[in-house]
Amino acid sequence: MTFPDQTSVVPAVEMKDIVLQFPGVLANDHVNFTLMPGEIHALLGENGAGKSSLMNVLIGLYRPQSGEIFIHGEKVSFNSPKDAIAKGIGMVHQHFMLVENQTVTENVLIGLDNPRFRLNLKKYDDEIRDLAEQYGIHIDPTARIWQLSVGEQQRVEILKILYRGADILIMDEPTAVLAPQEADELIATLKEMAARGKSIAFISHKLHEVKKVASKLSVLRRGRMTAERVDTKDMTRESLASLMVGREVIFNLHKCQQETGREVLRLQNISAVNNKNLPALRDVNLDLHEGEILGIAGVAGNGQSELVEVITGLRTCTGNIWFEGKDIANKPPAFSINQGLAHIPEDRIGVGSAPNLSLTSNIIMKRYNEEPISKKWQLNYLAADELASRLKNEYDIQAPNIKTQVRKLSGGNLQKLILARELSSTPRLLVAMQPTRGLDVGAIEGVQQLLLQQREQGCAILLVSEDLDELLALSDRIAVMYEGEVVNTLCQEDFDLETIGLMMTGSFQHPDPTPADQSDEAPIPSCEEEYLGSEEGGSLSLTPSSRRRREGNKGDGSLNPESSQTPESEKERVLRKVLGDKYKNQGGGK
Amino acid sequence: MKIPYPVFTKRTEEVPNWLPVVTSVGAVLMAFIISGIILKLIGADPIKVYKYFFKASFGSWGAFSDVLVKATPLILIGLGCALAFRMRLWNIGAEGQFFVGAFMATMVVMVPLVDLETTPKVVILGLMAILGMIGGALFAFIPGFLKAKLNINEIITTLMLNYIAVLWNNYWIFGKWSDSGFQMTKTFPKQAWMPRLADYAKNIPAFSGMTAHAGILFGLIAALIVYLIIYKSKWGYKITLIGDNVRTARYAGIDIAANTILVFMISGALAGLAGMTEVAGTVHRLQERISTSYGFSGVIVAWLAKLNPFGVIVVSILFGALLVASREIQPSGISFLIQGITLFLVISSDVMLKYQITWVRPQEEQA
Repeated sequence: MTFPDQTSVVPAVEMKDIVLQFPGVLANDHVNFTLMPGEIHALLGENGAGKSSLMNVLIGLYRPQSGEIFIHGEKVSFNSPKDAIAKGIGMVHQHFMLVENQTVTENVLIGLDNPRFRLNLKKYDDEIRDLAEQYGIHIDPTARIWQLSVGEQQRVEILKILYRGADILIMDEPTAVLAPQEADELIATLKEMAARGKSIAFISHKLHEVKKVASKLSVLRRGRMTAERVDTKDMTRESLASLMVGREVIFNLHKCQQETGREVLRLQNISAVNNKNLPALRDVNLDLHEGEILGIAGVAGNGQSELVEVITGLRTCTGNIWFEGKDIANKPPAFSINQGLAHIPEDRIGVGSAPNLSLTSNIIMKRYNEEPISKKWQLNYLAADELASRLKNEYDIQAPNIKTQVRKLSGGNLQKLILARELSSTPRLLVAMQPTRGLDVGAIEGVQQLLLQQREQGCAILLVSEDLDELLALSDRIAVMYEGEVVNTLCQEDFDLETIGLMMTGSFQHPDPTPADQSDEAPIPSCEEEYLGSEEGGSLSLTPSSRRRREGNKGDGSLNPESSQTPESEKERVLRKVLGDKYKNQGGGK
Repeated sequence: MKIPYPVFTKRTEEVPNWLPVVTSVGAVLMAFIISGIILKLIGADPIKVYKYFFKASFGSWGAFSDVLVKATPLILIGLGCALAFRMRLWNIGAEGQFFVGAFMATMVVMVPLVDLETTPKVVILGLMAILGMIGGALFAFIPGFLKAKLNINEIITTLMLNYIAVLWNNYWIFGKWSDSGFQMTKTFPKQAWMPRLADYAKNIPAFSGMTAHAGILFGLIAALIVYLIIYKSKWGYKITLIGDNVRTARYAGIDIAANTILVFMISGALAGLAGMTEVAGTVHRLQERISTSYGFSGVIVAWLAKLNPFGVIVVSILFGALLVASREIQPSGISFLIQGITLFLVISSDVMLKYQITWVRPQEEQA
């Protein structure tokens, strides 16, 4: 196909009539995909729509049954990713492909011909540090992968590709793991790279983000293109969503108002260290009640993972954690599981599932001790299969059968399985970390409904998310974490995106006492009766002057590349970005 | 000329149930073909060699009885390894645990712990079996504990402990229990011998000269128990879960440390029992060379059996046959050659379970 305005330019990538057939699934049904040089082209679609499959064809992981691929006008046929890399194509996968025990530098160098024999690590450390700085990526090249947060690991993946000098980049849902500010930074990096002539294919679920980053977009649904190379500016959130899902998507969740019950969880003076043995939690105090969702906001790596691990017994700590009147601090995980604690872990594959085992084995993971699944020493696989089949239907887990190894499930279905396992035991306390990360719109809606349903049933929910949208929509209160401390805990009346955003970046550490000079900028109170945060909490306020000071201080780690804008336009931008048309509903929802 | 070349792609569909069996059998056949080519190259007639091979190990009941004698310790050790490997615990210390088991069983006779004249045979053998298992278990407790509590690599510890066990045995057979200067104990009294088929030759003449002993029953019972553990029990589920993903198992509330130690001890107990059957059933004394690297062959057996307890029995008998045949065929290295090639091919054949191979003709590419 031709494009009248671009006939003279040779496309960087042209995929024609790609057909990719998996047993039982037509992943790509005569799909065309064109990527022009210096362009960011978004590829949208639900889980299993065939986006990743199409891109895996492009990087030589899969061979299509039919179809042709042209790179810079030259017909190619890839047998392995190595061939694709040779043509300058690199991909940042959704699931990172890193060696945990090696350093950032070592991971970047893996598979390269150079260095050939002697590895002068220090020299390459410097090289990679320079490269990272060039693109505004903050990373310590000497750190080992297991010490890094998920967000930081992604930066390593991007560095790997940049280091190989690829000019065609495929980003498989790159922002799914990032906080809003980090995502902004990434988008700025991508735009910079595009301006320098690199072509970027950007796979995403997040509609508002696609509008920000990409000039063109294509939408896949069940292996077919439902929109091909349309201008992003012509599309609305709603029209995109219906192209992806094939039906209207409801963007507003119904959250019923309800009184919260008695206290279920109380954290008292919790401190803990991270994997690097550095303080990760500093004197954290929180409380959580029946039928309440307490959101934890924060940029990745500010202690959220450690907080979740401490509560679920996977990390040692100092202080007390009272769960239903029992101190579960430093108790083995089994203790709190028996008390009725459910946990949706951040890492679905590494922690939440046993990838090579069946659906059944994964579903009974936390209740293999219960009758009828086990009797004395015996495990009754018939009963286990029955439970698995029931939950598979109930939670609509798409898999060939209950014997399927769960590593073959898509991200959304794996999350459904984890939810099925955790929620079907009617937990008293649910700790959910990034429950909707990387899921498509339809699946996100489902997960959020399930969380609200649990809330209505009186379950106390601790929801850790880097998606502020989600936190604002679901939470009854939001605690903001920064560098291992709870900066403040806000009640629903006081939810304000900008306040939370500033708290997340640490700009609220030394509040300016200057009174507010705008009526809608009245000091944001903390949740007085609920508040258990750090000392500064009482005098926390958001004023234009505090914001100005942040803007003046460029080197404070604030990640916003557009921070030089005026306060008003920045605020508008942020609100539009994160809340979109929901902003009014959010304000009037009470 | 354009030769089609294979392209490996990751399997996306379920592996059919018959495929692992087909690839394993195919790998064994392939091993015989490759060994055949080597035999041919050194000037032998492979068909003749294999015929003789077969005759030497399966040609008569007597030969088969010898095969069972060799298979007995392999079964027990292979089962112990299979259980540990299920949990991804690389216990390669079966050799050491085997020796300690043999030593503990010998104590009953050499100390002696009971009056050998008056105590019933069942009690003596029972005591020997129990002490053998305790010995193996305690010896395996060391690497298990170090792994569980200090996360010390079990491959290194189990490997090193093998030498300690061998030297410990040497101390006793060279020093304390030496039979008039030879590096072996005196022959055990008949009271401490495992019942053998030959013992029943009076009633069933066909059994005369057959050395297969009751140790094989231990092996069969142990296989049944390990099968029940792995496939039918709650504990087996836990082991499999830990083996697949330790972090997930921890998240699911399973005590990794306790299970690590326990699995190690059971694995060791089985190897210890193998040591006991060898001294009480086959050799009837403790000596330096009671094991022809049974401990290491057990590792191979467990892998070839794909960690399936009944598979362990089949593979052990096959290995026993190779050991017996190697006595008959010169150079005896031939059977080890076949062993090595078989292992190599069976493990490589796993690729077929993970990848699909499609043949691509280069013409298609350049159209």
